[in-house]
Amino acid sequence: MTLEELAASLGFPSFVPLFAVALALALVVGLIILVPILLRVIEIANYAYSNSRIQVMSSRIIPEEKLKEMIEASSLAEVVAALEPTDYSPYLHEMMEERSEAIERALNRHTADSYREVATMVPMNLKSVLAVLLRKWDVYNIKLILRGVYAERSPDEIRADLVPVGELAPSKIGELAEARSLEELVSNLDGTPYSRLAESLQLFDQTRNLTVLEARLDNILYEDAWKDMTSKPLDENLLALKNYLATNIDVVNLKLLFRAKKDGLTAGSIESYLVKGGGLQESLIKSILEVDTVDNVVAALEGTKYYQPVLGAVPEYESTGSVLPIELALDGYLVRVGKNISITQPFGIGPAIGYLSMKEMEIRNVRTLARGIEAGLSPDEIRNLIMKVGT
Amino acid sequence: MDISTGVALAAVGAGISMGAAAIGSGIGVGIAGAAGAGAIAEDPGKFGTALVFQALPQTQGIYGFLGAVLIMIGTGILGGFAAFESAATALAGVMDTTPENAALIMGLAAVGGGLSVGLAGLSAIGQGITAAGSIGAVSKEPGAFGKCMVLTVMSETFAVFGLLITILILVGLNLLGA
Repeated sequence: MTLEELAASLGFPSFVPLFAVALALALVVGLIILVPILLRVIEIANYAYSNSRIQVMSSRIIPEEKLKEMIEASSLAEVVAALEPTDYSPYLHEMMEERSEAIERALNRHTADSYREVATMVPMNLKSVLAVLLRKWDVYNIKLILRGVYAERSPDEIRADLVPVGELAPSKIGELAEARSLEELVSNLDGTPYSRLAESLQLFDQTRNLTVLEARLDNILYEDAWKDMTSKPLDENLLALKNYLATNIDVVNLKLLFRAKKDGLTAGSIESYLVKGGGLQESLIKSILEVDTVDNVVAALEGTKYYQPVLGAVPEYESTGSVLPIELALDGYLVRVGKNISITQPFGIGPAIGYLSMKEMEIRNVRTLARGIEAGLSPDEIRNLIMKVGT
Repeated sequence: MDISTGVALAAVGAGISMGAAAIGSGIGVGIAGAAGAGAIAEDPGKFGTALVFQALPQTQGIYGFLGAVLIMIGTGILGGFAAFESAATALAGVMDTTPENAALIMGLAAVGGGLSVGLAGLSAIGQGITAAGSIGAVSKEPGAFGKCMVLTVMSETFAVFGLLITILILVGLNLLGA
């Protein structure tokens, strides 16, 4: 059978129209297959620029070896000099005062700039995802203002310590720092998610313990974010963020539980401070609430992802009697989760989460280092306070 | 002897060869280029690394161009139709059909060849994505250059296979070297 005969048998006057129809059909089928692929490719292309930029920024995070050298520094001037070839160089002139407060303020500015830079460069659809991470700084700032107002510091002094980043407008944060009483501060929070802090004022009046208000702020922050994550369909980016947020909540809760068990607090006195949500089963949290020692909390965690990191810190806890090594191990594990997300989701929110969690760790370590050196701690003592990426 | 339909089909094949491969390379190079721009924005010293990885998805476009040129030479679009006519006559003898029908078959074969190298050229999209990831990875860890290069080059295999099949089709139907 010739091609012309084939075309005639199919009702076409010649082969050319048959070929044209076949080609058109192939194009339609091809488009049906290719369009979803191309949409995914376009999505990936959106992240190519920002994520590559973030990877370069990640490469400038102070490496562990450099940090080890800095720990051996004998003065703050040496620390500042060691920071010269790093991302901190634009802030060095602020650190020249050679006081840890000056360094901390420069670090706060660097934190704000890092967040702002990442928030500016990520694609539009990630900006709302990043907002969840930015809210953490609102809470950090409100806590600073709470402490400042409580300690009757002047608005200028309070403002100097704030980290100028977050979802709340800088003018709003500045206005909050003007408050002359905690009641005024809480009333100024009207119109923000943190206005619910008013519910805890009565308890604060009874106890005069700021932890009541600070813990409530954490509850509002994490529970709102968790509610948001569990009430809508999640794309890959939100799923990654949910995973990170779950670990964040677990770490906050576990740190509270470890500290409470160390201090011998009862289940009833700490239950209301725990954040609802996270990756740990509620039944497990309840069972941990009932145990009475740090060792029992560790044992209760067996089978969870937190067991190994915590177990690694137990010998240090036993030798020092402080839960700080366990807290550092948990924080380090959180950074590890952030890093893992950046590896498993290179075209999406991953690199941003990974970079910001590594950056926070770096800033925290430089801050610890500066405070430690100023306080005259030995390198070994500082080393014990330094946070490492968990395993 | 009317070979016009066969030649027209061959022209379609050449067009698909270059066009589809160019889409693949264009998207691949674009994605890798965006990643390269991101890296350079933070560190202009990364230009060399970015350029190397961005160049890799371009090869599919070159294969598509090569496939198209081979089809056009084989079917006489470049260089005259005498060779195509004689090849069609020879094929007609082998297949026991008319030279016109043989020319049509050869034109269709050229479309097949064009589709092979053209569609295989879409592998440049995947290569561009790997190249973009590699630019980020190498920017962070320069020691990973070799390994990232190996990963990125992997997609090339399919483009080479596509070109190979195109050449085999053209040779098999006596369109090359007739």
